[in-house]
Amino acid sequence: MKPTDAERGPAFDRLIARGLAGETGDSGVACPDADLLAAWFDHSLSAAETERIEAHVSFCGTCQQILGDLARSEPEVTRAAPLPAPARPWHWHWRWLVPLATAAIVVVVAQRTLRAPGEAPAGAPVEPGLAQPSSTVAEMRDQAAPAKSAGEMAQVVRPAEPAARQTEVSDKAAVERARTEPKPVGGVAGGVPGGIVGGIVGGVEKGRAEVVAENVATAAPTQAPPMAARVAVAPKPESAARDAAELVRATSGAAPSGATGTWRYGKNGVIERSADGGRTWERQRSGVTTPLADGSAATDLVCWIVGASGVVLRTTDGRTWERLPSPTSADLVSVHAWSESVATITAVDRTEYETTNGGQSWRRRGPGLALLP
Amino acid sequence: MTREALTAPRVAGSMSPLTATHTRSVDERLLDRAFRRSNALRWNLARESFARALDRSVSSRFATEAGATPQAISDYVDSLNLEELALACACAEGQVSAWSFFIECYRPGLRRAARVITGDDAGGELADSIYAELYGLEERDGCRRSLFDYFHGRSRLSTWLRSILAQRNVDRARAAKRTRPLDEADESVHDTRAPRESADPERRRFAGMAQQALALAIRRLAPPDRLRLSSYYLQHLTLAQIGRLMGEHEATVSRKLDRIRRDLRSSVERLLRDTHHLGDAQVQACLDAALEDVGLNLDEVLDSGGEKTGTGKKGREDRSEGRSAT
Repeated sequence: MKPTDAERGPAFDRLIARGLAGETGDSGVACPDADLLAAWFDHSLSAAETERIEAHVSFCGTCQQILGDLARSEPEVTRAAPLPAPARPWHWHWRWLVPLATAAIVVVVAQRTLRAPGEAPAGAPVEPGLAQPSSTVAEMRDQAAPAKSAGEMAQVVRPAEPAARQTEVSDKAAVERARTEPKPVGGVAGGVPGGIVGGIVGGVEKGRAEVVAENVATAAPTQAPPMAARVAVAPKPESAARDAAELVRATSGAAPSGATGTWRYGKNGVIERSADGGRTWERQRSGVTTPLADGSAATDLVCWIVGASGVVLRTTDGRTWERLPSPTSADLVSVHAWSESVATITAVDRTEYETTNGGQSWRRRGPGLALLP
Repeated sequence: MTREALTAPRVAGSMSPLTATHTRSVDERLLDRAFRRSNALRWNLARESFARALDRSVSSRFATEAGATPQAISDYVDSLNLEELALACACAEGQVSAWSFFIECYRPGLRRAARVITGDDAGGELADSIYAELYGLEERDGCRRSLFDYFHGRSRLSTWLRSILAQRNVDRARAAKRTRPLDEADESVHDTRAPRESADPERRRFAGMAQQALALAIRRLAPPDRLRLSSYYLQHLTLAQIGRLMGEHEATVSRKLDRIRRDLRSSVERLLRDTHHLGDAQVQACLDAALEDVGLNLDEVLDSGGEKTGTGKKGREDRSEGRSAT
């Protein structure tokens, strides 16, 4: 019975496997020793040696098995699927901003253009006994009643009304005022510095505000640090929500205690740890705001994380992170941690560096990069 | 001052550490630099001991190349994992601090790797079994010889250790195979090599021609391509693992596997046309016959091959990446 077209692809794979099995076996030549095979695996041989080893290995079943074992036993960083973006409360959904902003504009225009003769300017205190607004204005204000609350929200960022600032800014007028009016010293919403409020408004979303607020809270758990420090900890608002959604995970594969420590980290310096398999997460202070690209956990307490601009972070107690001296200012893309002292990092240009003394000194790995495409 | 360069032949795989009286291949300045970079004083390692380890490494590298230049030696030494070479050297000498560091940093990874390599709980046993060799309990010519003497710093120490483990595992599997009953072994060979006979002699002839052409096409592949294919079809590595092996991204591996498959198929068809002067219909009949043949009996062949390589079907199922080569 002839194979069908659908069967031909997999069947040809089988044919190849059979052909390979027939062509692979003991080569009859002395195999390279463990040192050479390991060096080939680490891409640290010269081009001529590499060629020689490959010519042998491609026919030698024993060497192929050793290299296969090397590849299979190479420690890996477990990556989790990207986390969903933080849920945003319905009342902060951007679609609500359009009618709210429209209503606010209507109220402001109505106050300024339809004001009755002799009426006090909008915003001025109304003294008892003065002329009340005309019925026309009153009717219009009644018609605009749903927008009144929005108008009030727009007022919350005004310096003269600090109590109302506890609510988030939510219309364009407020945005403009927040930009142009002098920032109140310490005038923050939920602990966010005034200098960052503009950023949050620019980002609009509550989720971003939460990230900023949480970062600041992490940076200042007990006492508010100087403004510069707080600003430095906050992420760029336009990327905060996206960064939070791009968290990846480093899981220790060999926890001596049997427990599994799991960290996740984002592109704005966010690091979180879970000690219960990912059910709950505890935010940890990273001390950086640069994008974090990769992590590797050697044990349930020891984890290394690297990121842009040569950032190398390490925790040895599972809680506190220290920034280690870096051998490069290039962006780092991967890290393999063996212990709290030994780790290998790879820069974006594929240069590898290795430390065996906890990052106090780094050694550039040998040649082999030329082998890469 | 450059001393005499070592060009003494040394067969790959042999183990012959130089003695203290051996002439040194590394000049003093280069040795100073390497010694500083190696942080060897951390382990109280004597400069002379480190120099011997460096000599062994240089000797191993340039054994088959006559007249290595000082510049080539210098470049080579600069490319070494000197800190790990110093650590291995200190361990070989029995320095307690070095051993403590080694046990703390490398033992967990070693045991984990051994479990992966053996695929069962015997991994810990395999990992522990090499400690005696690493320490050097065995004496030769009155000297304690440590396995660490054969680490030359060309790879990471962890990779070298895993390579040793993999070799030991192969040796162990071979020893177990030697002790297997003869009839069982014969049966295995019979299963692997003898396809079921087809009733149609013409079809059998066509299948044989296609298989011969494929074997020739495989032999003609460039070694890296053959290695990629073997890693995928025989070792059942994932695309990511092959990428790690070949130093390329897994997407590149997938693309190359696709290309190699296409090339193989066209090579087989060309060989059938050119060698046997077959027409298109006959070439297709050859391939169909070969495919039908493997469809009939290759499951058993692959299972035997998987058993041979210690992976089998499990390894194939573990590959999570998409198999674009199909």
